[in-house]
Amino acid sequence: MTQYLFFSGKGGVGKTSLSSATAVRLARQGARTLLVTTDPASNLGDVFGQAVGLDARPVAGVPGLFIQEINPEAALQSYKDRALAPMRALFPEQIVRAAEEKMSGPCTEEVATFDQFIACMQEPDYDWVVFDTAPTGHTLRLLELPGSWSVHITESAAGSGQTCMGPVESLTASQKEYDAALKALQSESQSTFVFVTQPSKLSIDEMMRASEELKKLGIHHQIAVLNGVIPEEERVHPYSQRRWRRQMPFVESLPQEFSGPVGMMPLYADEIKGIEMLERVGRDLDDAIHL
Amino acid sequence: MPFTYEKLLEELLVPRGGRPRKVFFAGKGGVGKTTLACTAALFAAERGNRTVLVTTDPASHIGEVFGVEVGPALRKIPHTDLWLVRIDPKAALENYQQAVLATVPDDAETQGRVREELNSPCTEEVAVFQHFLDFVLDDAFDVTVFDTAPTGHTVRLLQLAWDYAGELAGKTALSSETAALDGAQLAPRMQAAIQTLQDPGATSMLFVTLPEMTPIAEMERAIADLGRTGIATQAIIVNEVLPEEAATSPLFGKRLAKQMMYIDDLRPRHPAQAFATAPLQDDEILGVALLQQFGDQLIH
Repeated sequence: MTQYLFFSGKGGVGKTSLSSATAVRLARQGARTLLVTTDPASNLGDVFGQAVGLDARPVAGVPGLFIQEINPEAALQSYKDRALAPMRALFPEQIVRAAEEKMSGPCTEEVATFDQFIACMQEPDYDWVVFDTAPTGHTLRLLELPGSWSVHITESAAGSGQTCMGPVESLTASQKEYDAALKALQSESQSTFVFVTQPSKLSIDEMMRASEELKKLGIHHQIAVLNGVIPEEERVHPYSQRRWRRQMPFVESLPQEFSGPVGMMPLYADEIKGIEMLERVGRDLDDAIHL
Repeated sequence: MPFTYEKLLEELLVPRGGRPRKVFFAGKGGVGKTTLACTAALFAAERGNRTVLVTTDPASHIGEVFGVEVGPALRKIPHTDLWLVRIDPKAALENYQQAVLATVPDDAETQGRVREELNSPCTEEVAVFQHFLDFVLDDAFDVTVFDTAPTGHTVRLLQLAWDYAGELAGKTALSSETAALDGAQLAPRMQAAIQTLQDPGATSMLFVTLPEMTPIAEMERAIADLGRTGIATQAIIVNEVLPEEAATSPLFGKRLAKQMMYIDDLRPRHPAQAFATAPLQDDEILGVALLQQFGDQLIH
């Protein structure tokens, strides 16, 4: 059975780096691994130094590792094309343009992106699928969608057959798949959520809220990673020392507050790019958390 | 001096020529919009302006920053001229649904069809923006600070809605927003609000980013998109720039050098915008004292 790993957290906390390092490590251990980014701000291509596409591509130098991007803009475009095609025959150009703009917002983009997210969960060829998910609020809505969206589809199908996203037929084709995806997310033996946070109050508060939200959705298998902890040897510099003093209380308290395991990852001087650096981060991460 | 830290111009945050000012902080999640909005609002209030700080984000932490509960009723911060308020998306959605349903024909079939569409996940976004407009149009405060900003998409959506209001008189299910515009006072209100947003004499549109590659790329896309609706960005604020004393640390020194590289690269691309860098603070900016300290470092 394919195992899923989801990296969650606010923008800028290091999800892309940590999910990339994890994927490299899993592949090195012999698991056939797919790394998927759904983050519109992802720089996976920079991290691996190779082009990322909408289809899974092998990573040079790491046998068994594949990377894939869900591009929200491309997802949205193909969704709009599908939904607008039947309208073009029926409505004047201006109305179609109004409808197109209406389908260009973050809401429809999330729905379209989620559509492709589901497809990536149904890849039977992999031992592991690692998701570098989008920032917290976005992720939550994304993950809340399977439940609320399928309800919406059902209601709509019983009514006029219209939703704000377009004709229902462009959505319902895989309603069963959405329900199956939610079940997989809830399965402790199949899915793990890794919350990445900085050792600071608001970042941790937000993570705790996000963690509770997921529990309400029946998702309990959660790990927290405190990222960017100033390494011991650096703590002698006056500036670094001051910064460390601010981090310390959270480093001490989070393991008591968070219901699952908590790992610590250091702040690195270098940008996390290239296989060699990813392997170094992967080793540190392997010491920090056990998957 | 290898590094320069530029300050944000005070005139962007206070009324100009006696006109009330609307100040928006735009940018992606995690860049520090809320902190900057709180800092700017307190700054304006302490210079004798009656100021309100508005958030539309249900997960907003402006309450945590000021250490008070924030809800849909105005809440005054003691010993200041600053009020806080949070737009409740659920209440906004309900009001909006009522307003729209009141404007469509009163037969069961039409009402049912529009009601169904109004339950779609996209409606909340529009509803919150509608309520947001109340604050854009309200001149009861000298300064109104928003910790979010409309995107190019949101503005275009509203423009299209009134442009085609006539043509959409048939009221297909895709036009419930338009139905609302047809009816009451919504269209002229919305038009007035967007004119305010387009007027640099009344509005400051300020973008916040971090000195890193992807946040900068995202911001530039968003500025261009908003620009297409006639709303110009007046300033770019690069947040969380390491302080100069970090330069001698082996770890932070390397990081600071990279930040400066991104800033030097970004600046010349935006000659029309004011530019500011906000130094990363040791402490998380919580409470009035730290907000004041940050304001002194950031604003000139």
